[in-house]
Amino acid sequence: MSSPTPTDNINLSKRLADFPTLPDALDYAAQGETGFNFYSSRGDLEHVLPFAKLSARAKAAALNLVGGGVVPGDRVALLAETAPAFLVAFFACQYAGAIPVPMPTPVAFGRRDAYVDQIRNQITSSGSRMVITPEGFLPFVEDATNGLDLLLIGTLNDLTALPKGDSLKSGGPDDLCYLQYSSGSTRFPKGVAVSHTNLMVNCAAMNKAVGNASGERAVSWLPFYHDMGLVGFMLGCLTSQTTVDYLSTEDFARRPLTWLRLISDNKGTMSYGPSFGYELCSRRFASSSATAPDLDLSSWRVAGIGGEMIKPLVMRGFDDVFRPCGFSNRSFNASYGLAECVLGVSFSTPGTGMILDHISKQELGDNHRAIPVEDDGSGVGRTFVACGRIIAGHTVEIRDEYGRAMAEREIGRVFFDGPSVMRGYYGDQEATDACIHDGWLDTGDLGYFIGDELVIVGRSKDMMIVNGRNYWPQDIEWTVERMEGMRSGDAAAFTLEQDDGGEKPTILVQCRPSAADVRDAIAAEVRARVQDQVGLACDVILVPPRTLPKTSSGKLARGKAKASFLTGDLQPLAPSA
Amino acid sequence: MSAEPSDGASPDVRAAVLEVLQTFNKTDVILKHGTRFTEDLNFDSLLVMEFIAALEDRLDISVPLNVLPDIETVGQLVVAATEIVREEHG
Repeated sequence: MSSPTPTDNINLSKRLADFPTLPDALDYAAQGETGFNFYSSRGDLEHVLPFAKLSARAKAAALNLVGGGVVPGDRVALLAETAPAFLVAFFACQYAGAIPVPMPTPVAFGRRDAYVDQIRNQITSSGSRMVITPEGFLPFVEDATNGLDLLLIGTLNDLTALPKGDSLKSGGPDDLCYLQYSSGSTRFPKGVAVSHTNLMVNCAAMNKAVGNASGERAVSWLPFYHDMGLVGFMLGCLTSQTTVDYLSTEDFARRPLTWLRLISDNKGTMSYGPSFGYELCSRRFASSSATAPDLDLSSWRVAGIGGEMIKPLVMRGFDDVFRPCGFSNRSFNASYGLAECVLGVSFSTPGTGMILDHISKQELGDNHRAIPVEDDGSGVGRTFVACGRIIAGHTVEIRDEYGRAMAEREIGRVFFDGPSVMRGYYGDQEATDACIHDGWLDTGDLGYFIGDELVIVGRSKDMMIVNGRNYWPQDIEWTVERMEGMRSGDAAAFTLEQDDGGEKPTILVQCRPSAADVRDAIAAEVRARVQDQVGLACDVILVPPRTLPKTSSGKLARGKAKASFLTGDLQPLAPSA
Repeated sequence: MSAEPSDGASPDVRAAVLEVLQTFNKTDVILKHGTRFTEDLNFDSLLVMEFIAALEDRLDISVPLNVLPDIETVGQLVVAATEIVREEHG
């Protein structure tokens, strides 16, 4: 077996994403020896893909795209497995001027229909002309594309068997580079449309913020259909000629300690995950029979945390377990970002560790102010983690409900401005106009500043994040409303924030029958249906008919429903005995 | 596990699946052929992968991701695992 690509190039100087377009970035990286390496769940090296080889294979396959009828600007959907074939197809699109659309792979038992629906919605929403998939997922893709008129549905081998076109015309700096569907519900998908300039600006700023330089090596298990995996640990690394060692997400979930093994063996310096990724490692180690992990994590300079609300206790638990392996809690790097800004918005200063802020819950709830209180275990405060400083060349403003800028330690909506702001949601001007005003992106999140450190306290938009996966209340409510005896507007889904930083998914359901046993059966049925269709275990709380608040236009007022429930104005039906 | 359908599943594989699954079963549901992973056992995607890893270790097999969407019950998993064991171990 060959060896993995080296950490540094011999004769190629490091450039941090200062290229006009993504094909330019890959052409440059292809002059060196660095690249991508793929490992099995047990940590064995399975594939080596130096940037030079990736570039050559992608250019060849790009001619097949053209020969197959793809023209510049066409969308091509790609099932985003962690494997060389996905990257070859992604960059073939780049060289052909096509727009790749990474789609998720299935991850759970059952739910075949829900998965097929999800990818069908992404294929139709993006208007994709081709779908490229690993062979094993072809049956799902064939079901999902039933009745659609596409140029090709097949594997990378099927693509490269097509006749070759004559020439390639890749996109310019202002053309779209990819669509990202991690934002938006499965039922009503929204594709974040990112230009080459958007991407380069953000990658350059992120690389500078984390101090990427010679000697840096990345390790990642994050999926390519999610912004942190696609941009942070694929595009961000490729545009800075940084070698990455990959473990697939499903292999990480099976054997999380392999992540740390790769960092240890390859002297990885940069690796990110949501809190639950760290939690999985500590938990799995605790349940193993080993007394001390045989790992050397002293090379791990930037242990990034992002993607969901950061849980300080979880991070402390990880530090306790892995400190004997040379891990330093000063490596923790809290960050904040979202796909609508390509990826990164703010990063902590590397080497400082987590900065915690313990603030009064009452002031937070009543007066939208972040007033520090003693962390004495009395429960009057909540701990938040500062997510660092805003990336260079960009601005964040905290605004109140009237759009006025707020002062330090005042909590409001987070607005972002700068060249990383996406071009819009693909083909959805209405959704784009709803979140971008005068160039400012309404992130939908709530936060405050301490000096120049941004702290995120929650989301004002509706997305629910549980164990690193995004869920949309619309999907849950839609599932409930389609049940027998239910009507539109009968369900309100949201998460309840827990003191440990976690979130508890909850559904309020209007219930007409009064018999206790009927009510119990309805609650159980709602729970099972949501689990099956959406894949999320929720608390189901029955409320009387006509109690869920509506907006003036008759839509469900989800935020108000949650607030009324928390204050006790909206009372649940008494539970049966 | 009475009245099992004649699905060609191996009794050894069935026993191994039930043994491993019981260590992950946090409910009081008694495991049967028709027990459903999500509805009856409340398996979320993390627990699924953790369970699969344990089953892979127990049977020395590798379970590909693309079999998961078609598996809803314990019985279906036993059939799928039997096929994988036969493919990988002859």
